[in-house]
Amino acid sequence: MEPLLTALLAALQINSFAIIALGVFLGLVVGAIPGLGGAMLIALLLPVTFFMTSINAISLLVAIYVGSVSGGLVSATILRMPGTPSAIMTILDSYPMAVRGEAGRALGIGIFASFIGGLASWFVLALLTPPLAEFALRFGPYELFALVIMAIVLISSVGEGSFVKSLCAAFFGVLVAMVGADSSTGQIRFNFGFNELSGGLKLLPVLLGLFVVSQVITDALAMGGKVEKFKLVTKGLTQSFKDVMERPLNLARSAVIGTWVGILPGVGSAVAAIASYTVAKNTSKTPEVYGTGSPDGIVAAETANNASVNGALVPLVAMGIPGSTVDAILIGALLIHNVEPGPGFFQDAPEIAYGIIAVALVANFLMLLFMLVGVRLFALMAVVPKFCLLPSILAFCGVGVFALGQNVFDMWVLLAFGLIGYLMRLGKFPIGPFIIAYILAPMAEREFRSGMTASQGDITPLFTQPISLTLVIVTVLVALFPLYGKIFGLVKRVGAR
Amino acid sequence: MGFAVSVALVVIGLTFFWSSFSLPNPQFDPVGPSGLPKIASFVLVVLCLGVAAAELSSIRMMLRDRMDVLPRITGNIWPAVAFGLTVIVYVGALTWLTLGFAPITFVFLYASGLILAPINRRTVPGLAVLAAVVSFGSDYVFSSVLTLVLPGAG
Repeated sequence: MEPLLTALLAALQINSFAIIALGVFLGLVVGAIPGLGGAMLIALLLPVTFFMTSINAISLLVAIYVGSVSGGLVSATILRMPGTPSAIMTILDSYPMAVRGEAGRALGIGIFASFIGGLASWFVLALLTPPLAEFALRFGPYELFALVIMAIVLISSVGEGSFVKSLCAAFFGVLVAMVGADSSTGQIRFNFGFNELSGGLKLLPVLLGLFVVSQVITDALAMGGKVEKFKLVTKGLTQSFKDVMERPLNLARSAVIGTWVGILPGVGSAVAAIASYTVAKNTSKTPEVYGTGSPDGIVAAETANNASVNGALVPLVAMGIPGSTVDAILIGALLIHNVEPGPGFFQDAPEIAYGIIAVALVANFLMLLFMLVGVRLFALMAVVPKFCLLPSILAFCGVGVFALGQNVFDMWVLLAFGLIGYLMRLGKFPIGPFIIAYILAPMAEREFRSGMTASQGDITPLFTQPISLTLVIVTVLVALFPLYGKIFGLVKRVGAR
Repeated sequence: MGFAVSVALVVIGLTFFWSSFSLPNPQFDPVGPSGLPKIASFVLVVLCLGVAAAELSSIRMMLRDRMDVLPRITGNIWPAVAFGLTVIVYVGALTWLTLGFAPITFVFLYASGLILAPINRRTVPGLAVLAAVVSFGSDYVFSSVLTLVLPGAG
């Protein structure tokens, strides 16, 4: 507990506190703007963090993450547009309440539910992560390799879209990660005659291209040039705390679902909100009121999506495995700062590992404060016309990737991956598995080769050591998961005949 | 579009698979630099062939049902295309011209704004002011405050 308290005190120092506050504020702003999300802003601000210490950089990014998930509530309520995918279920009840003239109450319920969800899951993050990391220290090369493979398969299985397309995206990510010098032998691989590729494709242009540029292309196509108009009544904002506290069962259940879904690698806060909302509706005595402006619906969705943020940080801090796509970008940020998260994270960089946990708590309190005080401002940001934002975002992307290596080639890589990302979106190949595989593939290759070297080319320890065997079995079960429904359907049809 | 992307991924997978055979054999470890790329590219090709086959089958069904098989890109297609070309010209200008980051960025931001925004008495001067603030402001912040070397400066 002592290192955590030290980290909490450090997070409350004026400099760190200001950075966290800035991160939460920016996260709330970007979360409130439909189409822009935390992943995009975190990727966009990576170059700015070059000038910060590792702990300040990660504090800023984690704070943005916390803020962005909460900011989606604002546009969901006033514009009927989810600022972030995690607010997709919130719309169903917050917008009808706003139409009834209860926007303030709807926002208040969402804000307090978000806060409580974040707080509950923070305790899981703080209590579960250190022992889990200690357990993960027992992992050898084969266990780590099996863990990465399991994470990639799990992400592909439970994420958005088709499982096979997700796997395709993941293996494409693995191949892109193989470009450049082999870390073990220095052998140049797959540079296809471009000397600039000999050092590999840099993380930043790939990330910014896939997340930001492809989103800009999508937004440019979807833009109508219309400026949304709205009237926000914030009456009942603070009184809604009572509304939330009158639903303890819903709160507790949604916090548990959100945290658990967050812990599963690759499953984002949107899935947490959907799962929690569905369970709340199915177990309610009055399911018919859901979707008509029910406070219960907002509580279920907002508690779960915020709880998933801290849940997703558990595998990241404990094992270096991203709990969501945003976590994959956070791992990328740590790697850029020469910090490698993994089972040894608490030993190698305790100030950062505990710092992440501390920042998550401070950011949650700041989110509550900013939302209560500045919800009108975030509502205004939600209607900023996209034609003001998109070109500037691209210019900042260009500066960011150029700053990393002073190489204009990276700017063309940025554009190329923007186009690749857009085409992948169009073909319904999810980007999340690509990014996660791209970031984890070097680790998987290193551990696999290290294990094979240690066992003199014998792969059987992967299937005989208890932990790696368990992970392999889980991977196989997860990979077969999409087939279960089909098998049950077939059995039913055969039985009916 | 799923079919086209899966075919493109098959080509990419085959390119990587083929190239991995030109890498040296393992010397220092049993796997070597070509081991994982070979496996990953092989799996990618197999999976994408499966996706392509499934997409082709659904395209056939759509054709049979006389449905439109071409992807629908709804929205502002021409402004978006013009914006895309402006972005390419912008990156090209930053690569090959030495006019300085701020002027090139100002032209890009203003031109893009005019392409994407509804043109009226408010937006035309408003976009110019916004472009000037963002381009010259970011030039000052990045080059003077953060001491970054910016592209387009020669």
